[in-house]
Amino acid sequence: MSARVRMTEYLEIDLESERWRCAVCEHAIGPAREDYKRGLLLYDRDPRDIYPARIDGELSFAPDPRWCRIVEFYCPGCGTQVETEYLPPGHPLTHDIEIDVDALKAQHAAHAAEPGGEGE
Amino acid sequence: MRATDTTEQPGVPAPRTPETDAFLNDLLTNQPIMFGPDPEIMNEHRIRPRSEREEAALTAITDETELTIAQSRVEAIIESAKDMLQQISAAPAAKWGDLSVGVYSRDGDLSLCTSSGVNIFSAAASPVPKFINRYWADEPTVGVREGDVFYHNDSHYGGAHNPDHTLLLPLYRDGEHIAWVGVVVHEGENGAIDPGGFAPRATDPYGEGLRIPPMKIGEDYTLRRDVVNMFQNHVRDPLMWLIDIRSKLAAARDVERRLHDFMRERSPELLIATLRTVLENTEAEVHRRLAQWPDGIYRAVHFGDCTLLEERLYKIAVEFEKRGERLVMRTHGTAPAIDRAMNGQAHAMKSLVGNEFMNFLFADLPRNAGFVSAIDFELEPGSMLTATREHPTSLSMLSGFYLNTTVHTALTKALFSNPGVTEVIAPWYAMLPTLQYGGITQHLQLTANISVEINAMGGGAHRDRDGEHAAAPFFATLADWGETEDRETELPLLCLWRHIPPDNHGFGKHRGGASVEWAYALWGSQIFAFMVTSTGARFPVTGGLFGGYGGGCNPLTIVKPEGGAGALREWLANGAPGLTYDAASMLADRPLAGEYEVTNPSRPAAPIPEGEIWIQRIGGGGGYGDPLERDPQAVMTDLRRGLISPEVARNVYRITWDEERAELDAAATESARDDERTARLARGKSYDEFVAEWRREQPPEGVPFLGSWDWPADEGS
Ligand SMILES: [Zn+2]
Repeated sequence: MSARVRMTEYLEIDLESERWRCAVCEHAIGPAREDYKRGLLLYDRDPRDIYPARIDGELSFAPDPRWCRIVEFYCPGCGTQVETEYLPPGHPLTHDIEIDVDALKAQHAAHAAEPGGEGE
Repeated sequence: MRATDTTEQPGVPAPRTPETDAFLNDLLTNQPIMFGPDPEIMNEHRIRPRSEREEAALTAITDETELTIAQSRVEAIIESAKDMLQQISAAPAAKWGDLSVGVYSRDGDLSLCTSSGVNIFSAAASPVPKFINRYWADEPTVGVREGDVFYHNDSHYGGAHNPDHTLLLPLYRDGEHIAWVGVVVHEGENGAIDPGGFAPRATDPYGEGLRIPPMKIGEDYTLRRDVVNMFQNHVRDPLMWLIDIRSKLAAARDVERRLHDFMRERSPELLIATLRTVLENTEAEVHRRLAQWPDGIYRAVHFGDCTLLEERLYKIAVEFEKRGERLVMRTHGTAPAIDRAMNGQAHAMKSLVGNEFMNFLFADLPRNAGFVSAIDFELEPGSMLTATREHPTSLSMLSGFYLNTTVHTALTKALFSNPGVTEVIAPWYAMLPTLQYGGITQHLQLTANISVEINAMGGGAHRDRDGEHAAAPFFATLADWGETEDRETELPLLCLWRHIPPDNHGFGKHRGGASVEWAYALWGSQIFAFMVTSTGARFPVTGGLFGGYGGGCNPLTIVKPEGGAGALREWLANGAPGLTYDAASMLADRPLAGEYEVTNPSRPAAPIPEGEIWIQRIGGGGGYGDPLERDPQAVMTDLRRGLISPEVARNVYRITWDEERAELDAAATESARDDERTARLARGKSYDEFVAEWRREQPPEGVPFLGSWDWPADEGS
């Protein structure tokens, strides 16, 4: 039996193994008590790859790559783009989700025990 | 160390005695120089405890059905008053939905508010009646009596920002003060250094125009004409002020009359019990729903790129800690408050969090102060979100809107696993690249205000479908962006186009809603100024969610036709050869001879020559999910509709198509997408390897930056 909680569009927490998993390919990304981003692949994207510059010059209708980069996070198992972060170049990455795993387990157990709860 | 020698000496203060203490106490508490904003009221975001009167009313009303029916009836009363006010107001923003009508408890907590209006008011408005209760009710020269009319716009005393004006009536029944009726309208023009209500050139609050603390402006339902005259004397649109003080009074009186009917037919107790119950139930329900979210800490950051008078990055950071039914919001790391009008005050920023709950997270609950009351705030003092009374704040939306984006992103991550009634949605576009203006119109009337394209913000992509185009502002989801013909009739403007340009939204599995680009020429006036106060020329305003991308960048384009208005008229008369309805193409092709400028979208008001054209995009909403998962046929549709460029279809969505027949090549698309996934695995780096290359100890050279830049010691170094 495995109890998994879907935490984002592409990330689950497996309560049994206490690991982040990819919801697309089930790749085990890393410990659920740590930042899932540590288990992904990262890429420093020039924003002009995504938004075509419409004119020459610094203000081209695309972001200015000296001011803004897109950090893309990929699942190492299937290459799904799990997250994007818009940051000035070199700015600290955001530890965006820090789950209290014990509370999550307790919440899940309580929910499963409720009448009509999923008794996985 | 304290001095212990009490012998009187020259230059040494006399010892304290009970008499001097009493004198000092009286001096400090009873003889204020003026009645400034009360820090206790301004910091008080929780609803007041039950009053004795409320306890008694709740004891008297035992039938819950009665409370529910009464709530619906009060809601119907305020909604119809709001509809009426929308029709009779002169302010452009009011006509298109930037207004609200509400009923507050006797103690001043906003208890029921129109759901179709601006929900920020629901939480920001309460300090105003609280101030009147505390300072004017017992002040012999003011007092609070039936028929009194109170007015307010200084957001240091409450409210979201100075362009919003509140008119309040105390509601009485048989000589007893039962509640407050309030009407808020975004009026705009305040007589600031810049026209229209927003003052980018104000570097302190004294350049922001008329600042009305909560004050009485009429008695016996009659406005004091000398007071109104003083207001009018301060501003560039005395007619609008006169009409709208009267129209707000009419709306408030309509609510008052119908609440009198209600109390006569039912009872004042039922009204008091209803107002109290709604507040308490809302707060309790917010807690109950918060308990369903997983415990943890959720963070988000975003960056503005222009501080009104110069280009600078400024950081807005939020952290939510959710434990059980409690939610604490923190903002450490956010940029400091500065001498620019984009600072926000704490109470207004809290009310933006309330807005997020009312409009996006728990949109089924009645709008009131109970939302914000349920949340704990640990806001860093001295930040751009916690400005003091000496900071300029008329454009607090520039920090508050980014706050909304970060709050939305962080809380969407918090609730995803157990969303309940909440629809999971990527960030909405939130900025104000709308035309602002002031001057003499073609009707020889002095005016100043904003044009309501601000209401055309693109909606964020949903978890299961695309976002809505030019949907509504995130703070007033039923607001409209108005008719071009109205604008041209009232103002010296020629609208060349309002059109959705390509790539003006976030890409993703589900794409954000796009928005329009507006192009206005000055037409029919020689004394008129244009102004824009926005951001997002270098750093996108909107981010994406769960692998989706945010929006693009939206600089301001200015075209000065060679030969002025005459040349523009001739070009248009000849069918505007080369016109593409898109600033970027205009800049590339220059179909009209003249001077072209592309700049960041923040330019204080200055008179412009007739015929000058300003072009600006409102931004689109964020995208949701990996763009490689987007249905290739949906990408083709976007391409055919001009929502995306061929470059985006190819490089972001990785679709392949027959260009001649505009037909998708499904097999080639699948293999192009597989190739891209493989390429990601090849180019992606492990976290530590990435950080080692990425990490900088300070912002890049040539990029002015406000806010923290703190790498944890153990990361990547
Ligand atoms: Zn995967």
